[in-house]
Amino acid sequence: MGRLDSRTAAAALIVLMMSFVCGLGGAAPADWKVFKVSEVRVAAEDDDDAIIAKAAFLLAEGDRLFVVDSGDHAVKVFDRDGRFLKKIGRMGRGPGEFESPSGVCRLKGRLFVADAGNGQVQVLNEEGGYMSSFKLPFRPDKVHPVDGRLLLVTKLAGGRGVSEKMVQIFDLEGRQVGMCLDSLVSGDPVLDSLRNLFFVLPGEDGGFFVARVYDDRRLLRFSGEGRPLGGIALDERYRGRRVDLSPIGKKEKLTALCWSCVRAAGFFYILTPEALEGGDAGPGRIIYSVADDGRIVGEIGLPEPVTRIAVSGSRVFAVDAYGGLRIFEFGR
Amino acid sequence: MKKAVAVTLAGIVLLSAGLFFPRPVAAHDVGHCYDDYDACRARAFNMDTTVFKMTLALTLCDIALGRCILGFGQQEV
Repeated sequence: MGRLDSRTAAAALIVLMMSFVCGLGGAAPADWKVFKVSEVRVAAEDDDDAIIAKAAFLLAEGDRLFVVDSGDHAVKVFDRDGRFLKKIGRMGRGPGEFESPSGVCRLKGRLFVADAGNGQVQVLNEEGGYMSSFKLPFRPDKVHPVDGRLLLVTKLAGGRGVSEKMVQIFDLEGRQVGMCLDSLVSGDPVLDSLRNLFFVLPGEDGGFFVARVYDDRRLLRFSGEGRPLGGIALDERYRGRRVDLSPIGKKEKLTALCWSCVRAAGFFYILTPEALEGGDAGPGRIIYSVADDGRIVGEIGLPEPVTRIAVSGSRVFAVDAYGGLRIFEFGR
Repeated sequence: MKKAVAVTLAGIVLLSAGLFFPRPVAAHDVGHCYDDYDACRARAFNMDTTVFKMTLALTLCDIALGRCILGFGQQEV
């Protein structure tokens, strides 16, 4: 009996040490909270317009969820419980029509849509009615409000062998007022395309943050005009996923740090990629909430992997691998 | 006579080169190649698939760009 006890004690000690060593893989440390998550049932819709073909971006603001559906060339509006309200736009080149839209933001009572395929930003009223547009010399990817008066437009860089500014800043009339964030150039256009992926996270003090998807463990801080203000180092316990590209003929290894990343109520929410067989990584199911000093303060575990997220209040809005809208409530 | 042969040979060589090789980059507008390349990469990223599949899709975009710049047929992927 005494022998059994010592074995049990040794096993318990090993398990304890393993959880300590494994960090994120084991039990969460006491200094971050593991939120309880419950799913909000989204009612099935009869309307075909409610189907999301390919979600490019989610924006949760107030009592509305905007889903940019690049596959259906439209912006779809839902309420906080996932009830479909309306579809804004359709495929085309005219006013109020889009081609592969990829981003949306709300500023001063207007909606700004990154109309990627038409190389422009369209300005709509709250109801989705066309107001104006401005052309861009590049294909816009995402649009974000900055400082309540500026519009930040991002572009996908890499692949052309020259460094480009990936963030361009405009006033609301479409006049360029700044640019920042140099793209990385290594000579391998495919790797450059991956390494230059990033998320922009508007801050509360008029500036914004940039989170690179691969390799860079810092959250870069910028002023509203695009002046670099340093970076926040991510919690050492946050590891991301190591991706070994050798099975597909490349020697490099990348660290995938965020599959999706948003900022809400003063916190960063980072959807960590999930490790897959053979050294690959894909959409994840764990969202870490991170404070302004880079420290992990919370963990939200979703029941299955999701590709895009938005956070508002205590709700996570997400799109799963099948394009379905999922809503989760996490307990604070 | 020698001159005529040399000129004819040079003509044949140039003609074969012109027929064999695609049109040079300067002879056709490559702007649309880059537009298609950007659209291709955007589609690859929007696939939201695994990193391996995304890398392969980006590689296809890159090959399509090369083919388009060199003037080899359609560049759509």
